[in-house]
Amino acid sequence: MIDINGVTMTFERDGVPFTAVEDIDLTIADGEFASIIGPSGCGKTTLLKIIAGLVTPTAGTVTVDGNVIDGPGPERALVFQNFVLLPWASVLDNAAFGLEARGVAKEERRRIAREQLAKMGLSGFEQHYPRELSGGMQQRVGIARALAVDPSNLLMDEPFGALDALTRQLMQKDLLDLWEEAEARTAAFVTHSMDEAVYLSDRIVLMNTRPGRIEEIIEVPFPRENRADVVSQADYNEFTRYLWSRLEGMQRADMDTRGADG
Amino acid sequence: MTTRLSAFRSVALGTISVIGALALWEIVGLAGVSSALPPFHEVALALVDLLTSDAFQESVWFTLTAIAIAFPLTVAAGLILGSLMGLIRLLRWMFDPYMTLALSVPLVAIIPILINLFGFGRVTIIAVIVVYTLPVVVVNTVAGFDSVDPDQVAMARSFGASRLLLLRRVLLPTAAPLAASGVRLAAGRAIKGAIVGEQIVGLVGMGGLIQRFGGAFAVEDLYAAIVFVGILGIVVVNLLTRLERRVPA
Amino acid sequence: MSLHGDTTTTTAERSTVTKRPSLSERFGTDLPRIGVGAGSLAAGAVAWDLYARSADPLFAPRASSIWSAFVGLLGDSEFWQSYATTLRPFLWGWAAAMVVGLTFGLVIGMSSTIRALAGPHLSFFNALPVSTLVPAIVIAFGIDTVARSTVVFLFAVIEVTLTAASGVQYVDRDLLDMGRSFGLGRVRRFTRIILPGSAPAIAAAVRIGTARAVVGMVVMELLLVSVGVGKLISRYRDGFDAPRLYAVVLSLAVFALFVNGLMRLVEGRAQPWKDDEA
Repeated sequence: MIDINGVTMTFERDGVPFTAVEDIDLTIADGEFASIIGPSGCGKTTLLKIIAGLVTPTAGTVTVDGNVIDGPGPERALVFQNFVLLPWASVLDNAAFGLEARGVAKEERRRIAREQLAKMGLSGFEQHYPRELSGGMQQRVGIARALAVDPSNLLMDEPFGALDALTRQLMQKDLLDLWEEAEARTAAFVTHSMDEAVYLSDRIVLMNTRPGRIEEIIEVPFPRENRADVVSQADYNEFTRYLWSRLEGMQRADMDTRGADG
Repeated sequence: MTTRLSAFRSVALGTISVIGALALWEIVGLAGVSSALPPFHEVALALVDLLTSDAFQESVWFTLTAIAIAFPLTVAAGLILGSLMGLIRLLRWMFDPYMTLALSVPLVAIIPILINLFGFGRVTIIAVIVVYTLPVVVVNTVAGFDSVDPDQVAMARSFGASRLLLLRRVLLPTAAPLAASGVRLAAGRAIKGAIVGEQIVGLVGMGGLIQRFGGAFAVEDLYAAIVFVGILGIVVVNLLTRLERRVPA
Repeated sequence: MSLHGDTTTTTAERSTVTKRPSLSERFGTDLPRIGVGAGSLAAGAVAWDLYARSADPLFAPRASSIWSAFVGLLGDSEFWQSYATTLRPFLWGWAAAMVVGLTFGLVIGMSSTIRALAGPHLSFFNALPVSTLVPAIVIAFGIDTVARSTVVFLFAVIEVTLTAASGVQYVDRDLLDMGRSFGLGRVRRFTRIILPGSAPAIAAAVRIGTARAVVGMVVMELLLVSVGVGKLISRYRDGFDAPRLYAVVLSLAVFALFVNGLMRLVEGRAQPWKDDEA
C-alpha cells in the first residue's frame, strides 16, 4: 500500500524556484493498479520518483506498507521508459541485477532470474546482450528484473512509451494477464495514453499542471477480469473518449497559457 | 553521485582553488624547499619587469608575427582543402593518408628536418606552424561534411535544388560548426608548435627566450615567461571559442 | 562546462556527397580507396625525389639514400642502444601518467566539487605548451632518468585525466538511478555501473595518453640531447649527415605508428558488448 501525504516538491533552477508537484494526497490500496496521467509537465514522473525514493520531497511524507520511506527499498521496484539495462551485461545478469544489489548469491539469483525471464517469454535469450534484442524484449527484461525482487509495489514510468504501437498493444495485454497472477501487488503506472490507463487500471489519477496537482481520481467502472473483452463495447469507448477530452482540455489550456507568457 | 553544481558555485570554487594554489606556491617558495621554486611574488615581479623589457617584447613580437602570418593562411588553405575533400571523393582518398599520418605521428619529430631545410629563422617557425595547423583544420572540415544528413540532401534534390543552392543551404551550414571547432583546436596547436619549434631552434621568439632563461638558471624569469605563455594560450583559445559559438549550428 | 576541448576527430568513413554511381560503387569502395591512397603516397615520394634531385643533398636527400641510411641504422647496434636508453624514461613516464591520470580523471569525473576545484588548473596546463616546462624540470632534476620521465609524464597526464573524466561524467544518469532504485550502494555503483560505463573512455584515454607520451619522449630527446635518440639526431644534424638525420626521424615516426597500432588493438577489446559500427 502506498500512502502519499501532503507531498510537495520544489526544485531550484538557476536560482528560480520551480514547483513540480504541490500538496499531493493519494492512497493506493493493496493490490490496486493505479495509473497516473496528465499533460506534459504535470509532475507525474517526479511523483513516481518520490514514491520510488529517488527524490526526497520538500514537504510531506510517503508511507509504503506502513513505513515512512527514506530512499529506495526492497518493497518497491521500478520499470523505466528507456529500459535502462546494463549494455555490458547479459540478459540473465540484467534480470538478476536487482537481486544482486540486494546481496543474493549468484546461483540463487540466476535461478530466480531464469524463472522470471521464462514468465516473460524470454527463455533461450539469457546469454544475449541487450543490443541484440528488440525494444519490446528489452522492456520484458526490465519487467523481469523488477519482478525478480518480488516487490509488493511495482512502479512503472511510461514503460511502453518507447515502443511501437503494435508492440505496445501486445505488452499491455501481457501486463494485464500478468496482473491476474500478481497476488495483491500494488502498481503505480505513469502514462501518457488514456487508452492505456483505462485498459490497465482500477483507478486513474488525473493530474493537472502548473503547479502539478491531482485534479481528480476516477474509478474505472469495468471489472478487470474481462477487461480485454470489454474493450470493444460502446460504453467503454465513451468512457475513454470522455477522459481523453478532459486530458486534451488540460493540455490545450496549458499550451494557451504558455503561449500567452510568450 | 555526479550531481551538478550551480554556475556560481563552480566559479567560486575555481577562484578559491587558484588563490589557494598561488598561496601555496608563495609559502613553499619562501620556505626555500628548492632553488628551482621561487616564491610566487618574485615570479610576479619578474613578469612585470619582463613585460617592460625590450628583449621580451622582441621575442613576443617574433612569435606573434610568425603566428599571425602562418595561421590565417593555413586556416584558409585548410578550409578550402577540407571542403574540396569533403565534396570530391577522389581528392579525399588522395589526401587522407597524409592527414592521418600527420595526426598519428609526433610532429615534433619533423622539426629537425624543417630546421635542416629552412635554417634557424622565422621561416622555419612558420613552417612548423603550418605543419601543426593544417591537418587539424582539414580533418575537422572533412568531418563537418561527413556530418551532412543524407535525408536533407535528398529533400533538397527532390525540390530540384541546384548544386550551388545545395552547397549554400545544406552542405556549408552543416559543415560550419565542426570546421569552426577545428579552427579553434588549430589555434592551440599553432601556439604550441611555434613555441616548441622556437625552443628547439633555440635563439628566437618566446621559446628561445625560455630556453635561454633555463640555461642561465634565471628561475623567476623562466616561470614568469611560462605563466605568460600559458595565459596567452588560454586567452587565444577563449577568444576563438567565443567566435566559434557565433557560427550558427 | 566541458573541461575537455582538445580531441581531434577522426574522419568517419561515410560516402561524400557525389551522385553518379561510379565504378567504385559497383565494386565496393574499399579497394579503390586504398589504391588511390597508396598511389598518392607513392606519388608524394616521387615528387620528393624529383625535388631532391635538383636540390642540395645536404638539405633534401634522395629517397634512396634515406632508405639505405635507414636500413643501415637498423643494423647498427648503437642505434638500438640509443632507443633502449630513450625507452626507459618513456616507459616510466607513461606508466606514471596512466596511473595518476586515470585515478585523478575518475575522481574528477565523479565529483563536481573536485571538478570545479581542479578546473582552472587543468585548463591552464592544457593550454600551456608542456615543452615550456622542460627547462624548469632540468633546473630541478637535472637531465637524468627522473627528469626525462617527468617530461614524458607531464606531456601525457593532462590528456589522460581529461579524457577519463569526461567519460565518467557522461555515464548514463538513468543507469545510476536504476542502480540506486534497486538499493545498490556507492561502491557497487562505481564497480558495476561507472567503471564499465566509462571503459571506452578509459581505453581512449590510454590511447591518447600514449600518443602524447611519445610526443613527450621526442621533445625530451630534442631538448635534452645528451643521450639516446636525441644524441643521434644532434650528431647527424651537426655533422650535416642529412640521410641519417631523415632516417632517424623516420624511425621515430615508425615507432609512433607501431605504438598507436598496439593501442588501437587494446582499445578494440575494451567493449565486446558494443555495436560493431564505430
